[in-house]
Amino acid sequence: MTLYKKLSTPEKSGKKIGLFRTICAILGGLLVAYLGMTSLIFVIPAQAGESIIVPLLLNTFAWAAAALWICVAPTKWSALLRSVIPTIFFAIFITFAILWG
Amino acid sequence: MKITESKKLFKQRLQRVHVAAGITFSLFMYIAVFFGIFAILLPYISAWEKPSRHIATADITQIDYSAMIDPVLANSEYPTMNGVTITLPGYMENPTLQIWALFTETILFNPNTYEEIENEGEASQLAWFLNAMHYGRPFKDFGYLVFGFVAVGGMFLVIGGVIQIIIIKYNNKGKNAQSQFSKWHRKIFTWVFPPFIIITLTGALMNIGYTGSAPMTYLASKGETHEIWQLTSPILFPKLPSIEKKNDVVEMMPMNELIKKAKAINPSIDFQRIRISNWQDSSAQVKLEGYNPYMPFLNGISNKPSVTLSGVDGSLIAQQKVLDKHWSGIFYDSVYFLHLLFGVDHFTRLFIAFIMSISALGLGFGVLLWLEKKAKVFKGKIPFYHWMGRVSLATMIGVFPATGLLFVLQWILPMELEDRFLWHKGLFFVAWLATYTWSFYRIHSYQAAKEFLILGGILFMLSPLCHYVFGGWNPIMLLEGGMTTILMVDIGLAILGLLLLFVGIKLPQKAEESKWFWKTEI
Repeated sequence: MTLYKKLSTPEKSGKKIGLFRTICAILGGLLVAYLGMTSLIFVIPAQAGESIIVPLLLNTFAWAAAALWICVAPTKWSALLRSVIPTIFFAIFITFAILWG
Repeated sequence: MKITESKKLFKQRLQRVHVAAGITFSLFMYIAVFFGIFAILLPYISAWEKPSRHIATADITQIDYSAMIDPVLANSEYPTMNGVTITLPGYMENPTLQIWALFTETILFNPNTYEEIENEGEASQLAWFLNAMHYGRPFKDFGYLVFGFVAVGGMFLVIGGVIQIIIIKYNNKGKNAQSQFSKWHRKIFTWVFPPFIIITLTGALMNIGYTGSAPMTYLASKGETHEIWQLTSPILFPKLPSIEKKNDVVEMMPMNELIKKAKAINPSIDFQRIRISNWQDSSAQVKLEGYNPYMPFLNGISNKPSVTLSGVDGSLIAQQKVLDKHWSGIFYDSVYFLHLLFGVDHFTRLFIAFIMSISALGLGFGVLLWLEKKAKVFKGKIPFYHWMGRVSLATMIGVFPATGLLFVLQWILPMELEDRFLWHKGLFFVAWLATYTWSFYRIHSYQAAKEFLILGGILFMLSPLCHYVFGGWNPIMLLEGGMTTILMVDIGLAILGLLLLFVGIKLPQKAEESKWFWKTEI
């Protein structure tokens, strides 16, 4: 509980980003963007070779956007949630799409 | 927590992360943009660098293609069984006609005289090297990865920067150096960010996107493959369906007639390439593909409109127009268009080169802003800059004399020199590294910058002279010989040299005197 408290207390100043947010932004951002774009393949109604082109193109852009979104989170805890929750959501979606799609 | 408090923190973080990422990526981004400008001008430079390309640009409507192509294809020794690719003169400013088949050296023709010309091959690689420097190729996989991550960082900075401009109220009235640099950094990128972000997006895709796509491909194909091209190439670059040979020998239609027929079928295509299969067989097919300049952004990269004719009588077998492509292929082309600029006209090419030069300046102002903020004042009067200033100086300004040397050496080093390209690029890297030493050696950075600019200016102005003295050309010869593109490169290099010389002379000697140059008050 103390760790949660530590992470969920907002920092006094935004002038320091810190290692925690940096790692969440780079790695978490990559996972969110990559899995999000992979989900998009199954959303676009076309065969695999056609539907993969748009996600492939937007993949790195999504990484940059997700990293920015994560590192400006109000608390460290929310930065962590922003990287974990969408990752899990997209992973489940992809699993369903492959098994029952 | 109050909303105003969280808003303040949000703004602070947005700015802080922009500064941190900015100073990490800016020098690499600058290198990519700097050499990228030369890569945009690659077709012109590759014509300029090679003696074999110093031939008049032929009028494509008057060329007798058959005189060059038919004898090569008729030669029973020429391996036509795996198909032959012919690149027509004028494609990417290359004035020659090129014929290539699997396992053979490319054969080059002068389309004015129909004579075969010798290719310099590996000896002359100036334009190719400048292009390679643009995406980290000299450092192999490491270079690709670094430049790929820099491109992602570039997008991160653009997104964050645009949000900052929208939500933070900036004051443009400040007179000190910091606010001037900040103003110009913002102004420039407010104007150029849309093409800039598209170009960085495709850059990131080419460097790390494809290699990183294996898991995505594996999931998309439900475990069939992890090779992206196996999925996308049937859509983006469909192969000619292999046609069964009839195994007879039939007389083929002359190439001139085939090109004329294709032009009549689709007059809006600028034909660039001809792909031939089963030549001299009754099943022979000739696919003529090109670029439709009336539909920019929709074709030119993967989407090449084409006309496929029978080699026997020229009857139409298949035709593909720009909008026949699957929409994902058209999307691919529209994103790539600004980056690769295949087949576009001179104006578009120069316009993009101009936009990118401006954004290189914008990057420079960003770095200057960071340095100004980091500067300390010693004893109340002597400004003291971070060491990063020296590195930035050598990287951003020192690259001018090094690149100027590259252009000068192109004509000084003889083509027969053994390992010519190694000497060429080796001397370039040595010169660039020397600027790092020099920028740390000089006490006043402004003085070092002045010297780099003047030296760079002189080298760039010398390069057309070397072209004339050592290459044996002169402007009148070039003009009368119909080689205006090459003459324009000479003029462009001289103008760039003059510009650098001018800025170098105008630049003050010391930082304290820089107020009037930047029009600031300290």
